[in-house]
Amino acid sequence: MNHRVGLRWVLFGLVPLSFAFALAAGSVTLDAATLWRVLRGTETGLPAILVLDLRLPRAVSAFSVGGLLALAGCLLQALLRNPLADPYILGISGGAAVAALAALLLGAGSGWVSGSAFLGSLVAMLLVFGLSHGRGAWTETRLLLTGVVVAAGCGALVSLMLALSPQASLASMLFWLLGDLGQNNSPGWGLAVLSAGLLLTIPFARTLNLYARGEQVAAALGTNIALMRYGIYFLASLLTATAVTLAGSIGFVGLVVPHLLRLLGSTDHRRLLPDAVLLGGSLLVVADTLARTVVAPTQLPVGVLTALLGVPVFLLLLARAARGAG
Amino acid sequence: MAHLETRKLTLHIGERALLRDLSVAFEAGQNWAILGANGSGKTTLLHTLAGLRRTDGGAVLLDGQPIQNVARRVRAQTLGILFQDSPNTFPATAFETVLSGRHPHLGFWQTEAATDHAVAHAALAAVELADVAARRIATLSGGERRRVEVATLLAQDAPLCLLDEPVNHLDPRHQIALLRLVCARAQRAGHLNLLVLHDVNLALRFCSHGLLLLADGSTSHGRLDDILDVAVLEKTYGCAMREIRSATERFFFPDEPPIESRLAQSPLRQ
Repeated sequence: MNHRVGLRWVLFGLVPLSFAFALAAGSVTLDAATLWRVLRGTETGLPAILVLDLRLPRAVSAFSVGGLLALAGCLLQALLRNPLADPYILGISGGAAVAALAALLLGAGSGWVSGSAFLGSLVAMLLVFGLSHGRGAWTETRLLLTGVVVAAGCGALVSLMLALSPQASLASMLFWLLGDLGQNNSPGWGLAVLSAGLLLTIPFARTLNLYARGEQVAAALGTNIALMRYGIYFLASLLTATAVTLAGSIGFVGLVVPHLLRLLGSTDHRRLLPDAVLLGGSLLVVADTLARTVVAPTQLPVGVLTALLGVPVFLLLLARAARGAG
Repeated sequence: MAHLETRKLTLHIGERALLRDLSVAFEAGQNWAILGANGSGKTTLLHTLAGLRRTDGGAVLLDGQPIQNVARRVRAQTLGILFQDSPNTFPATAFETVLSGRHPHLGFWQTEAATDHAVAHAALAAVELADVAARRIATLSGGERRRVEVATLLAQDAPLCLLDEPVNHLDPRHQIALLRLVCARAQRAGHLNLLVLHDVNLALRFCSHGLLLLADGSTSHGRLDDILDVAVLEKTYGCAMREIRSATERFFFPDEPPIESRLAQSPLRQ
């Protein structure tokens, strides 16, 4: 029990640390004293512009996207009862990618690209839901297969568009696909959706524990499983759609953050959901900061960094857990 | 005071009728054994009785009301079900799993109180698993996992319990201990159990009443002592049965000659 309370405090500590790193690091490195003056409003000039206009909004949107992905990952893993589920598995990001690339191909501005990405993900969400519902019994396997096939179809369309697109727009398309937090001018939106999502799921977290143990178990203990099923599906889809719209497809966070926390002892969804938001958010803030500083002035795709940071940690924990269980 | 009743209950799987016009009342104080061959519809019947599946005709009444009309939470407080098997996809400790049985007793905004923890600990202790409370389910043996599921049902504390093959995976000692534990609950005021069993002799020892699903789709139900004989068991299981009597008890076994090769090696033949 104390172990888990400790984990929560570590996660709470990670958030300001990751933000401090994100605000201080960059083309001009700021020391703690300067950063403090900027945040208190006593410093103006270049450091203030750097921090308040560039780094802070970017860090906030990185945190929201990381939190959204981790939360959606938890929800979809519970919905599909499949530990391999991630926010992109049901084709949400595929639909967004097809629409965003089409917009880029037509030479649309970034606002249009985001808009069509969101629209594309909604279309994919409804398509998968409609197709998997059809006639006959609803099963998570059927939903999973429908989602995977729709995602594969979107992948083919993306490849087709990449092959047909002119050289000039290829770079921006690839960067969108790999995930990019650079051109974000409305970070508040992501944070608002994240807060709403968390506030909406927390009261249902105990029911989610039952749902993750099986629909029948949940039904036998008095849960309205149809309501849960649709609620989880649409909420997780909207969270994912928001994340994809803000930053493209950033892999790894949504899959591994929930597992990492489960390995560390957050098995109850009442702990897991807020923990996942804290860890997923901080992880993406750190990864994004590294992505823009490691080989500056070149910006690396942030998805590469999330994987490079998370994979070794995850494998280490998995190996440790396996030993502990044996 | 729990009371479960079927009125002209009919069940189908696809085109096949499992059950036709079954009317039976399960009363407080009784332990019912549901016996039948594989695929005869025992599990389907149990799920229907629990209100988790629609009937294909007739009705299931819980305390006099059609079970579909009973509020979900009230139903879960009155009636608990142990499934044949439950998946454990995600890690959870034995204690967390058992504690989830308290769900129907908690309001939407409530978290488990000390009393709920006490109930869960007592349930684990009742199935002799107090010492594995903090262990992950995945690290337990099949029999221990089964007992954790039974403990979850005990923690739910519903007066009416439906158990689908509760002694699966259990060794003889734990089979007896578990059935004794579960069936003793029927002596509490207003409590009763329905158990799907495959062992006729365990049913005879622990249950007062029986519901037999015969191979021809008909049923036989009533006091076990009255309805159980070789003829009805042969119609139920589709194999020859033999009855062996002791001074106070009856036992039923499949009447199969030993396999030839084993017979040749058996020390009994020498």
